[in-house]
Amino acid sequence: MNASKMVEEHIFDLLPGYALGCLDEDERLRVARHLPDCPECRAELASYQAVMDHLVLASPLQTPSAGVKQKLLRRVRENMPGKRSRRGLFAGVRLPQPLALAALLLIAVLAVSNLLLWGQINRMQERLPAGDIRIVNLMGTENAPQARGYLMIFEQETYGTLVVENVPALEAGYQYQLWLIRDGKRTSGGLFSAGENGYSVLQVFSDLPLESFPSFGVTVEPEGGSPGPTGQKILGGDL
Amino acid sequence: MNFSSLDDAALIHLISTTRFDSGEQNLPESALGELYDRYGRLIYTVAIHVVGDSETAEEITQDVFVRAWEGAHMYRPEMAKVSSWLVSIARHRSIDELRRRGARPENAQGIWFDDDLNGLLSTDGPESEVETAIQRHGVRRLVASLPPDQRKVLGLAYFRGMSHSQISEFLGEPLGTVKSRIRMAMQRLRDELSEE
Repeated sequence: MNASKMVEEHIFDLLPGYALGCLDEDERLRVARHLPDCPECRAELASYQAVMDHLVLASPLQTPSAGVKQKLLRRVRENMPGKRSRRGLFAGVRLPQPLALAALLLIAVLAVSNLLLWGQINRMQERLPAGDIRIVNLMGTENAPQARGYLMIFEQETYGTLVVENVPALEAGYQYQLWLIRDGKRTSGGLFSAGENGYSVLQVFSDLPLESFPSFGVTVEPEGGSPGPTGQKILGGDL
Repeated sequence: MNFSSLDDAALIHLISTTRFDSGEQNLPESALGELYDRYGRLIYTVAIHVVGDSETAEEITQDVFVRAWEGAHMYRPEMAKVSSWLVSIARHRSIDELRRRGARPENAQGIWFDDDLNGLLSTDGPESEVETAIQRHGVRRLVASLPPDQRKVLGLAYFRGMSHSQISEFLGEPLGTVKSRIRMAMQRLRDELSEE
């Protein structure tokens, strides 16, 4: 056992606040780093998370208006494949013939590259390992305290999946960039933009197994990315 | 389709596996409707308790179920119950709305609907609703039994998403005191609930 683990046996006192989500960042990161290696603390945390399930019951149950369900179903119906408006985004648009031909060529190129990408993803999915999957929780920094995310890492594999939510919308010309951090060096893990409600998913690829990186971070960068972090950090977490 | 035989996790799985199947366009939508029937009131309750107005709470309620719809394929039953997952989404979405408004609680009074914590138990309705009502009544009595200062800080953390430091600053109480009160409140609730 190394010296750091001998000094910090358990962190039971921090777990109630961690379950509530009210720890300050330094303590939150300390818990996040400790939990993967401590089954006793994970069990203790689970007992407090069970309290969270009950706390909502302390509020008197209230009923929304009858129209909420219909609005919800209409929202998902309007976005289901095959049920979008036939008019579409470019309905009624007429292009000069050279531009129309150029647009068709671009669409063909994109379609082919998309097929190649899906093929690559499918081949990767076929060899999804039966080994362990590790989840790295990413917490919002003071620049985006409401942001949350997790990185799903497959044992000994060089790819994973990043899911983020509540990340702020960015000005035009900016994107988010994931950083894989090891020995003080930061390697780009990919770029993404905030989707609806600040939600986004990124397939992450690396030259090294993702579990070899002890830390991860997300920063705001100019569109197209940067060689190294230059902007505000909005998410961070440790394996 | 009758969804009553499907548990919550199976319902989520049905949504995730049929959502993009053009031959089953009514099935995932109906499954989402069932999910809403089961938890719409709970999610709305969380939202309105945090944001305070029904219109915003109804928008948030829709957002939560749309999020469940879009993220159904990532739900893992071993990580949390469906209800816990939905409530967590609702709580974060609602607290985000408060932060977006820059809203600060004027005080911590009434954050638990204090007047109603010791209210009468209603046992009208189907058996499942009665069981839930009994459980709800028990939790509310338990929260009501906490010392007021513990109940106050717990409410600010849970319903306002405030951190230890923020609560300390808001109440003008030492940081260590706030941490102790939250820890003791959660420990007491955990110990009492585990005995039931």
